[in-house]
Amino acid sequence: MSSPSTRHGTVPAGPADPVDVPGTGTAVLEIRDLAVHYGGVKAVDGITMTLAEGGISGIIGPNGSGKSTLVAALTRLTRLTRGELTVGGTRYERVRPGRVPGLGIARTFQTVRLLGDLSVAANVQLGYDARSRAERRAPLRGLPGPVAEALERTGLTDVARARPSELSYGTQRRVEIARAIVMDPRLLLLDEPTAGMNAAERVEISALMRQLRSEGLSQLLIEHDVQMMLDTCDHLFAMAQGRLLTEGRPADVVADPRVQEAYLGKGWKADAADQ
Amino acid sequence: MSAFYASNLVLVQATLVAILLALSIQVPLRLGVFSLAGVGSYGIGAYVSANLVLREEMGAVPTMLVSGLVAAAVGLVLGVVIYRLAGLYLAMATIAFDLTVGVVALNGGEWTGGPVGLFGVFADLTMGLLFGTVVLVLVLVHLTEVGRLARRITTVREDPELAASMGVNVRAYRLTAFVVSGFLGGLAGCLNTLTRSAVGLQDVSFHLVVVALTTIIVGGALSWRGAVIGAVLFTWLPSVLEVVGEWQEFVYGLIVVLAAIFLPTGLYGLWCSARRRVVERFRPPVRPRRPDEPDVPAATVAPEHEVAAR
Amino acid sequence: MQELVAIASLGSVYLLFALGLSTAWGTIGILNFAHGAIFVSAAYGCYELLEVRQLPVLVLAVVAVLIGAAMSLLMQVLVFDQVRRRASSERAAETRILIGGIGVAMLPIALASHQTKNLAFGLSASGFEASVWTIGGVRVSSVQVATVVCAVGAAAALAWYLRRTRAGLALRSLGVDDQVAALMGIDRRRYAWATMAVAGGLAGLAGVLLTLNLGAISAESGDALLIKAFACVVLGGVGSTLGVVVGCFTLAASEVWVLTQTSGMWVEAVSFGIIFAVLLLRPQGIFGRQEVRRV
Repeated sequence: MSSPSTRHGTVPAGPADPVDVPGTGTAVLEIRDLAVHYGGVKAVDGITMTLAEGGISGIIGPNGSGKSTLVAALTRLTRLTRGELTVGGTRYERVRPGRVPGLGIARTFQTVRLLGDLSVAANVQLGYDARSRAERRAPLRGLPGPVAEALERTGLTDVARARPSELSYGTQRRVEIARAIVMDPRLLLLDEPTAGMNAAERVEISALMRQLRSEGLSQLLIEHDVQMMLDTCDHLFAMAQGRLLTEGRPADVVADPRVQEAYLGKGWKADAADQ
Repeated sequence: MSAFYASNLVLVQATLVAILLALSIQVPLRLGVFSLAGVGSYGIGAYVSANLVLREEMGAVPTMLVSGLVAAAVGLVLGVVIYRLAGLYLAMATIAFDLTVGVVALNGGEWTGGPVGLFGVFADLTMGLLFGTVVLVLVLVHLTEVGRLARRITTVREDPELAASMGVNVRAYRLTAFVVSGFLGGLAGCLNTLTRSAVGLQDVSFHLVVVALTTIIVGGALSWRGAVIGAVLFTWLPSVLEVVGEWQEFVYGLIVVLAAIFLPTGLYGLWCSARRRVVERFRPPVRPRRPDEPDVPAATVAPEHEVAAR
Repeated sequence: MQELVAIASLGSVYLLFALGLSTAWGTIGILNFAHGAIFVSAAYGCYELLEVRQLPVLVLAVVAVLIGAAMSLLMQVLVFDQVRRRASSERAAETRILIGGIGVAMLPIALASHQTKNLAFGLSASGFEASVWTIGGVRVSSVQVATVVCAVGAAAALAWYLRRTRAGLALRSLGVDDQVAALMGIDRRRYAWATMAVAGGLAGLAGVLLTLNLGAISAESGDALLIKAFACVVLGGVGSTLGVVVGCFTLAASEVWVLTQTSGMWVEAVSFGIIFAVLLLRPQGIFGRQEVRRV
């Protein structure tokens, strides 16, 4: 909170730091005994997680394991059955969803959600609009500095005036990421950010995430691509049937037989994990 | 010009009132709230203002303010009760509200004059005041159509969940829609009573729902300019086209049907997309340039400069 | 006792009218705002026909059904199909179908109002005189009996059709999820046409029966009836035939009760009150399936 433009300051946190061991660093997000039941369906059933400040955490799990419900719960878009949520020391399981960005959580969506009537720049500006009045500087002409910067970092400067429908799916996803970055969050929640992207684009996104980490931004990544998880994350959580299966170093988690059975199917050899 | 103005004073007044009534439906629509409660607010404003002038001998400006605020307060209560309803259910509930206001007007005894209505409502409303009020409202509405607020309103309409994730208090926005709609509707009803010095059951009928909806569907639902276009069109059409006079309802019905099918964004929307197409013709095609891609060779640029120079 | 007869016949008129509205809404997702216009137009068509030629009342009923069905089908083909084809999303289509319905309703009503000079019209030219029986001090007319029989018969037939036949199942599946239904090879357009024709026919029948019952109706009576029918459908639950039946007779009973208790000026407000109460307390209606109706 020291300077108006960055909320998180500059916390040096690289892979060398012990950020992958929860509890040793400061926690950016704490989830305690979280449960979301829809009628008799226990979509999420008693999850406890701690995300370390300044690191990239990942969640893997098969379809229907409760990842999406967990994200909805973290952004307060679904009602909690029980549990506590704490971000940056503030309990927030009872606030309305519109206040979540103010607490420093920004997100992207699993399915691209951009406004078709607005230009790419205006869509990104929506994120800047979410900042508090003291943190906003609207120039009379042109885009505010952080918006232009976010467009530049995500490689969107050339298409800033285009409409989302004119762009490829992968580029649309980058607009979503730019929109989230420009909110200047303390925690960035990325819900399958590389779905629909080709290999080169995935590498670019992974590089962007690591660069953001080097600037001290904590991130939570939900992905199917195991290789991307191994390349990007400091700490991995594995979910199955609404519960936390295991957590730890990405390679260890992927190599865990229970994870392989639940997520990757029986008979899968941990090639990626051996690397 | 002044002769034209004098002979068409009633139409000018009717146009200004129609703009406000249309805005009272349009503002909630822009927020994705399909509420037609503005017509009920219009009725409330019409009757409240008549009572204020007849009983309290209030001046025009306080009457306008009080009428608008009373209708806004009723709108807030209605909003708190029904703002969670979606789509058609909200539309029908608000139509029921409009018609309830009509039933109350019918049974209101000396407060409403029952089926006869109230007459002789004279206040010091000048044409300048009427015109100034509408312009002020249009300026305020315009401010919600530019910049940050416009983006946030669009998000609330198109994707409420995304709006919440962008820090928008969606509930507050939706409730505000009811309040603003109530105020604008009440103001329109008040001005209608003051310009015509009378109020009756025709000011709370279902017909007004059709008129207001028609105005913005044909004019355009997403900008005040649409409300203005629609209000001017439908107020003046009967006097321009003689044949329309007798078959007014039929022609209006036909226009609404055609607009619903072919003009999803109204006349103003049509103008906007046409303008956009022209602008796009002069914009370079959209294509993200890869870092390894060479710069555009100078040779291909030069001839264009020559063409431009000529 | 006399009140019970009134409730039965009033509720039956509502039922005939609301059945089609509810079925079209619950299956093919079209809330036809011109349903009231169809109702009035069928009665008006019969009235005009009688000016030309003397016809027995039974033939008039058939003519009314045909007029209603034809108008409803035309609206579906010329307006609602067109809107749906051009709309970007289901939500956009919903709003524009409502608006298109309001517009298309204005056409026949404007025509009828113009021709009748806004006066009420009746079917007395048919020379039909309802017989009135007095049973234990209660007066019952043949029109009332016919209305109740038609309404209950239509409701039963519709319920049977939707529950027991393959086509009915297909139609109901459209109401649950039309994309899945399309994948199963259900031709939505054809079912939509059939549904709208039946709905219009029932509205036409209701128009003639109510006109015979009351003696005369005005061109504007359709709008009020539409809101009442909406109240009945919401009360019973969209898509539930039993729900519509219960909703219609509940509304009729409430209205008759209010009529006997007050001067009668407040009767119109009963249906509005029901709409508010239901949407607030039990938005899915009495028999409705759980459905996302809130945002």
